[in-house]
Amino acid sequence: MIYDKSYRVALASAVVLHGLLFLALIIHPESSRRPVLHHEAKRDSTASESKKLDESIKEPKIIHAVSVNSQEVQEAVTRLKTARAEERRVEANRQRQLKNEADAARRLRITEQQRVQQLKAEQARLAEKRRQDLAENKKLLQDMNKQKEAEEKRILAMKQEQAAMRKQQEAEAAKLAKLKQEEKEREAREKEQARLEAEREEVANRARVAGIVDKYKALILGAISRQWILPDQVNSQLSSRFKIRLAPNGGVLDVDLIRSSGDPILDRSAQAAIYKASPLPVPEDPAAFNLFREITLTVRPENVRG
Amino acid sequence: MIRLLLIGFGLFSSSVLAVNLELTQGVNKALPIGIEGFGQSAEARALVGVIDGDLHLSGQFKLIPAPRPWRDETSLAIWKDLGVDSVLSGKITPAEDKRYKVDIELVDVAARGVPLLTQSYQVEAGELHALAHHISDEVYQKLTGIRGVFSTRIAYVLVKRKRNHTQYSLEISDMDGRHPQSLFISTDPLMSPAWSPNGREIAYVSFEKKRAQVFIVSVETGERRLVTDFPGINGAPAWSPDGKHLAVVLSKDGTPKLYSVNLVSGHMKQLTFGHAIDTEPRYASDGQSLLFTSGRGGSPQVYRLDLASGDVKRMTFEGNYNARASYTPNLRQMIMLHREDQNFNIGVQALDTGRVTVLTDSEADESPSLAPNGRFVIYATHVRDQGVLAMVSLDGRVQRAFPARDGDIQEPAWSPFFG
Repeated sequence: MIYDKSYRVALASAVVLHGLLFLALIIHPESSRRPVLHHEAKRDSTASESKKLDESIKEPKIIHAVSVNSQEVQEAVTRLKTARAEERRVEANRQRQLKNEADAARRLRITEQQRVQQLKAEQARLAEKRRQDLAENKKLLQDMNKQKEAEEKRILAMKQEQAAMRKQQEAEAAKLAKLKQEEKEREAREKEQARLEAEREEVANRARVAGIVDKYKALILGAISRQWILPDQVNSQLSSRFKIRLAPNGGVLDVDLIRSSGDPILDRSAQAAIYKASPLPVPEDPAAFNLFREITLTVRPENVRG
Repeated sequence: MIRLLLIGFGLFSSSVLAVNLELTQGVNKALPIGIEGFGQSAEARALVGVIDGDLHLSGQFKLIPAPRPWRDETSLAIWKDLGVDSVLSGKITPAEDKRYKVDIELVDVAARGVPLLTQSYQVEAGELHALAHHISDEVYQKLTGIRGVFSTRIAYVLVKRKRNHTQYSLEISDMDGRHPQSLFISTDPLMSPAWSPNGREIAYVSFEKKRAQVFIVSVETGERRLVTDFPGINGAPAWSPDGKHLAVVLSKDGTPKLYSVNLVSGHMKQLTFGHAIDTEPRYASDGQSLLFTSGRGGSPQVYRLDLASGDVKRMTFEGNYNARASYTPNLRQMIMLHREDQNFNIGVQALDTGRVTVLTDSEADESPSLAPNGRFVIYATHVRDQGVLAMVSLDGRVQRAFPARDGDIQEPAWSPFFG
């Protein structure tokens, strides 16, 4: 753009200059005839500039003219003639020169034109190129935009897709979680149920065992009690404790006096009773019997039967 | 948490289920015992017979006969099958100088043959009977924890009514009434024999001078000495546990009252005062007090005199007649002659509760005397108008009537332990 402007100015100035030169060449004879005019005109053209100067020099010029006019007109004509020849020669020279100059100018112009042409072409090319570039750019931009849009679209789509996928995933995860939760709950329920059942069974078993245990406790006590001959005048405040080991058939394996009453007769009476009660009634149920492998018996001669 | 709870519960339940038994009831049964192995000799039979009789007399043993055919040794298993708790086995072998060697062994059959007693003796032929009682004592003590009284003796007055007169004799027999020996015979009444604490002397009341006198006679030598000879009643002698004093009843001042005579110094001290009749003193085993019978409450009742303070306290409130009381050795009970309505019976009173248990049910029992182990009471009773000896255990379960003798048995007194 900047080049473009400079060229334009240069071109315009060149055209104006050439036009002026051409005009000057055409009107030359008149101007040679009235050089004063020209001069004046020239002066006039500059009048505004040098008014003061004109007023200061007006007086002497008029005096001069008056003195010259009468005597030397011939001289002046000759002089004018020579001057005119001179002028003509000069003019020819000038014409030549002008012609040369015109040629040169023409040449210059041509070159200039060529240059301008070139410039123009260049400019056009450049413009074209720019246009093309622009277009290209635009296109590129458009493409880019398009691409971007597409990309954005794609991204959006992707995002949407992702979102959808995420949603789906989430849904699936939720579903899975729900399933898991359900599974968990189901397992927990089953576990709880199993536990409850086991507990029920355990309780039932325990109750059963406890029932068996209670029953056999009573049976064992009865069996030993029937054999326990209380010593006479025994102190009912006394008590002794025994550890009894039993065989699975109830046979008394061992009787250990683990705490003596201090009365050997009482101790022995109870020990004899335990041995004599052998085999003691014991449960056949192995779990229940396990509790009877080793039993402790505290004897306290509080009551007498029979 | 749940597991913890379960574990806790498990522990709890296992502790609940752990078999800890408490037996508070037994039976009152005789201890089954077997005797074997002494052989078939006359001495062996006699020995076993005495032991057998003693154990039976006590009421605390059930003698299981050895299985037939007789063998010198029967296996423990067989005895066990017969339900025997313990077996006494022994052997009599003649030794030098007409002596006998007697070996005994008592085993606990129930506890798988644990030996309880092993002894070896050498005695003369004449001592076999006493040895038998001694063996009974050993076995009895080993199996019951109570000292046996089979070697103790009974003193009593035997009254024989003859055609012209009545004969009174002071007799001493084995505790089963056998082997009586007369220590003193009189045509005048004899009363209230009382054993000295060491068993060597007997104090008694004699009317040989047509009035009451208190004598002490040596059991071994028959020597006598007069203790009191006051006007009126001289009666009911009782030995202090240390044997230094003899409590007597004297009516020298009018009413029969209790006095104590120092047997070493001869000093006498009045123990009870007043106008009511006091009689039948019996020292407590600790010598701190004595029980006596007094009519001070209107009817005869038992009172306790504290010897240190002289305080008298009424002991019996049940029944309209309580007399001849004596403490058991452990001072937890006292036995006495007790009349609820009409009949005189042997009663035992618990000192903590004051509850009286009547041990006998005949019409007229009299003169209860306690065995030194506190387990039995010997007393006189009447069978077909004849006075006989009878024995009752302090729990009332065992009652034995001894064979009657020719004559009436009166006022039996159980000896202390000898030695």
